[in-house]
Amino acid sequence: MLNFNPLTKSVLAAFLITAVAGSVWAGKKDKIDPKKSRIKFADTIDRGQRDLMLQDLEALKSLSFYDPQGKVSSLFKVLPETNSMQEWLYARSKYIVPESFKTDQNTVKVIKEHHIFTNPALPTLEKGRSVEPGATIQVVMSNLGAGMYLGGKMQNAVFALKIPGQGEVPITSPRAGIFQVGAGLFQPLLKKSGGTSIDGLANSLSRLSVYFHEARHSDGNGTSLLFPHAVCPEGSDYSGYNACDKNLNGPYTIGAEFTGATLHNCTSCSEAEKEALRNRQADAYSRVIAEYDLFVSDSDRMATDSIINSCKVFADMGIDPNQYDFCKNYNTATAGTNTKQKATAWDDNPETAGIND
Amino acid sequence: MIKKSIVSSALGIGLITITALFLFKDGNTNNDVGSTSTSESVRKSQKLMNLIKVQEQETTATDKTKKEAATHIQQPTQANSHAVLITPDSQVLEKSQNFFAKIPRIHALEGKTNADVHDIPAEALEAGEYLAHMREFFVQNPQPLVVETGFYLECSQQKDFFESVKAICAARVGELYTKKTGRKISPLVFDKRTAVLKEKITL
Repeated sequence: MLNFNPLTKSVLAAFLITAVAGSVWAGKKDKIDPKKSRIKFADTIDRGQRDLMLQDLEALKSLSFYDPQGKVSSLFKVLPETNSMQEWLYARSKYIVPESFKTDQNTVKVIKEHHIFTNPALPTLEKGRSVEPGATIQVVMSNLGAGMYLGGKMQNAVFALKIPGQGEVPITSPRAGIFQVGAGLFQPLLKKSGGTSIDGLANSLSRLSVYFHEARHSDGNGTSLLFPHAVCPEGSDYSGYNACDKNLNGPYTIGAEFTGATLHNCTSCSEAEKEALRNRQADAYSRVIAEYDLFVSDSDRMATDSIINSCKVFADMGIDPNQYDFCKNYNTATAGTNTKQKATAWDDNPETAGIND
Repeated sequence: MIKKSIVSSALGIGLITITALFLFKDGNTNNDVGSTSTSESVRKSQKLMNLIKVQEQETTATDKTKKEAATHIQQPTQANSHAVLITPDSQVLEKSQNFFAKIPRIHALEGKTNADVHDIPAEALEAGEYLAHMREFFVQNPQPLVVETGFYLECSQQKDFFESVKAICAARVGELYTKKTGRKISPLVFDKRTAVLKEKITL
């Protein structure tokens, strides 16, 4: 048994106290102050989830973007560099609420009824496989604000959302930027082997691609509002699911391009982590429908025929049919024929409800 | 013990056969890659090794030599029929068997909802993890070109693998093919969706 003299004991005690105090201080110093974050968190959010997201946003500050073919700059319409890409995200993502957050009479306020929206056109919402009664859905992330904007527009109403700790947020455009996060967002890239910590750079990049994907849903106007997903076609892994994009600049393309442009930052990542990120990227790209049938059913064809014929009437009368959103997609189609439509880039300018905030 | 070595050899020959088939199907329509008899596998693997040797010679040979080499490859002689038959080592075989046996496939999506697949579903993420570990293994334990190519080629041809996995495997095949031959692999080696998707992956 070691027997120290009083002087040695004092020195050891001082050393231990200093070491403990130092590690506590260091731990506190490493935590990012949520008050300083550009994205605001509801008070009710899980602290661990919040701190991980803050780490992700911190990691974003030091990412460089590889864009040799200019695809990132043309897709995001900003310079492919750190500040611009951060600003792109913050313009579309402003608040985070937890999975437990409910939109009900306690949290939703109608700030205007019978409102005439500046752009009355609505996007096409394709139905995919419906939720089985009693099914458990694991939330990853969703753009709640954009969904509420569209929901309001469909009812000629404008809503506001009460976010715990952040007050009342008016939803006067899809850029309200209220995102809901769930446990699904925080699954590690390499789950089975435990080969990567949940807060490593590879996992941050994985989650950031989801933030950017959801941020894209904050864009669009009229028929491109929210950049809604489409039903995946025959041949896709997700055939029949509402989990694809019928455009070239939608959420899945955004997420995939983000991953491709930032992968080179992963110098401290293992080869396995990088390959897992590529898997994510490839999955997202697989959801982009480059070409699709204009008509998915006989009733769809009949409805589209009448639109095409209406647009022809405009043209016959010397009225430019392209000024109408519903004519733009059909100006090269012929009524009564099955036509393949090539996917294009949608108009990503965000609309507003046309009222003051 | 004897059974194990026979099984190991058969699996190794299978991998090599698949690699040989893809190298020779440049420009042809894509066919299913299936198993072949042992003797045919040996013959095809010899053709493969001769092709690799010829392509190595081509980088420095004259036109005349190239023609001679090309002629040589058309008719491998009995004399070199025992040349360089590469059998993957047991660790590679074990990992490869485990990969193909356990990787989640697309039928794992049965019963999923829209919300489940909005982001990459857990099953596809897990499939990617299996592939990720194979990649780590190949980087840490360099294998003969034919072995690594054979694995990725077989992976890219599986009809019920997730598209993302097939595409990465196809991209790796293309990378190895270009590294060896200096040429771009024909897209016809893969199904249409895989061929398109593989071009988008950042290697």
